[in-house]
Amino acid sequence: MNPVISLPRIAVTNLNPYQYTLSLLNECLKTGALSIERGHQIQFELMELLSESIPKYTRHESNSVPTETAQGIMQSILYNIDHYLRSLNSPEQALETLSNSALSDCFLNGVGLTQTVFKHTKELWQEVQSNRLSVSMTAYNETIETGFNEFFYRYDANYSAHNADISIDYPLLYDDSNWTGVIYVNNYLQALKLENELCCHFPDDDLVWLLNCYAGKYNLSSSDLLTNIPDLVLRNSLAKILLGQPASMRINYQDCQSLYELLRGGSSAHILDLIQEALQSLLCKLNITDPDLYNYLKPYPEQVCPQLVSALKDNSLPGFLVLEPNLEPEQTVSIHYIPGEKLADEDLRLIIEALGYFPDVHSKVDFVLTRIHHIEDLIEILGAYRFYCEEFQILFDKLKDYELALLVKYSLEAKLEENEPAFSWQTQLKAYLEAKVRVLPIP
Amino acid sequence: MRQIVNFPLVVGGGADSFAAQQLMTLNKKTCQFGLTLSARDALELIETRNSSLKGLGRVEVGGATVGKIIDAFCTSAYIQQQDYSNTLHELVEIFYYYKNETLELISDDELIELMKEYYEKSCKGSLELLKYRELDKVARNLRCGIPNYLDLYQDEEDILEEDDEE
Repeated sequence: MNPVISLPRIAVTNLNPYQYTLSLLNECLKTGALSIERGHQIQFELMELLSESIPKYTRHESNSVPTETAQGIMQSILYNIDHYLRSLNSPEQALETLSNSALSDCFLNGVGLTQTVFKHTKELWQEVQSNRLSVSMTAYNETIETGFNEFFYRYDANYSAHNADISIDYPLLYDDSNWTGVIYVNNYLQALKLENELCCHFPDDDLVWLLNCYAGKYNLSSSDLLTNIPDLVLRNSLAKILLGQPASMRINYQDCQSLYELLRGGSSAHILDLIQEALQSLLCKLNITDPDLYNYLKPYPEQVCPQLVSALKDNSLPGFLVLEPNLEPEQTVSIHYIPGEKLADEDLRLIIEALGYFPDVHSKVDFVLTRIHHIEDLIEILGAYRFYCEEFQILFDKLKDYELALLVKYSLEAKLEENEPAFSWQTQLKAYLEAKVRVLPIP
Repeated sequence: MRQIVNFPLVVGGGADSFAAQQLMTLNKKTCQFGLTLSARDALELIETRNSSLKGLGRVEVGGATVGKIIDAFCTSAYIQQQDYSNTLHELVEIFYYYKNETLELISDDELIELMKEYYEKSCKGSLELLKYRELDKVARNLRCGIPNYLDLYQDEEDILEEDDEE
């Protein structure tokens, strides 16, 4: 009896490529494409596979294993079956195989495929090692040199196919971490190979320049960076192309300004079109004909466009690109202080006198802050010996940042003149600010 | 995390009643030592195995382990018919407990063999001594990576020193 009742078209969108077999079974049982009886039979065959695998795993030394181990073996079995069924031409063909073939055959075919991919992945690793970029980034170099050692030494396609014992620090342009086991490692190395291929079209010196500039932005060494290199390369080189310049990654502040003028006010859709055109032009100028690299970079415009649009909106384009250092004009911040009413000498004298009668420092501070509206009056008060030691700290706590800045400015000017010794309040202010600096959180 | 198919505690071992019937067939051998299991005893023993597996987080293939325990212990002079079933329940629980405690470092057969040897010799039929003294020391030796893990007393001082350090 053929257990397949009918072969309706399977909705691919309902299938999960990461859990292909289970999602296919769910979908087919739901639509009636697979009989309930065959569904039960498949589950039974799955248990049979597990019961055959556990003794092999324990080398027939133990009939029982911890639940976590059994779960791991079951995941490995499903991983291999997934691998085989995904390799078939269509979900319909996968269903036909599930319906008419023993699950153990699917499993064995899957193990064979996994082993083949493992072999190819090892070759790919060696290729990536020999063609890697000459950059000093530790994360990049260590990922390629040692990140996969354990994996290629210990990978077990039978009982632990879904695991990948890897130590990867270097981020890719895009990384689908839903994949596991050897498929993930293969995808990672394939992507890394293509990314290296892209970067190889630029001079080594330019890459070093780019990384040094990028690291300089954050006061880091280029060896300490933990960023994707092609992302930086593409941002700068696409900017150059958009400006109608040669495909290079060296970009300066004037270029950045020109790019801002070119793109500002443009809609997201328009900017996306421009980036896509620029990418085509870049690939053409670099003579990149590898269809794999071409397809790999295809989603990049959509990934980077929202960031570019946001940078244009926030006027932070220099942060989006990697600019030549020291060419960015320094951002100067000006604070304009508009003082309040200055007190008459007599009024100020009365306030200073009154300050000698306050029972506690807090009411004294409040009195000063409500009566004094001019920085020069405040300086007179501070120098009038009405505040002592810790009382200054309480007063400084109540002052606004710009008022403290004005006091510092006054102190510096007084020091430059060097015609009078430092007041007590100046020493206290220095101590107060030093204590503040110490408690600032480390970014 | 990948979705796991729910699987039973015992895979490929058939239903509990079938496993109990398998145990009953051992009566042919054990009756010569004056020991037999009733159908109810056998079923209860399977239930004890299941609850031990569940409680200790283990999955078993087939149902042969309880049979192996019966086969090994039926010759013991310390087991009488009146406490046969209760002793087997205890032994099954002890077995699975020490499968975990020994970190899978010894095989089923070796563990059953050790249990039988200590039960007969140093424990003289005491399940408490077997569980809390002898097997505990074996498990500790294995966990500490002592090569001669069956030497239960020689390295005791070293182990105590290690515990103190911890």
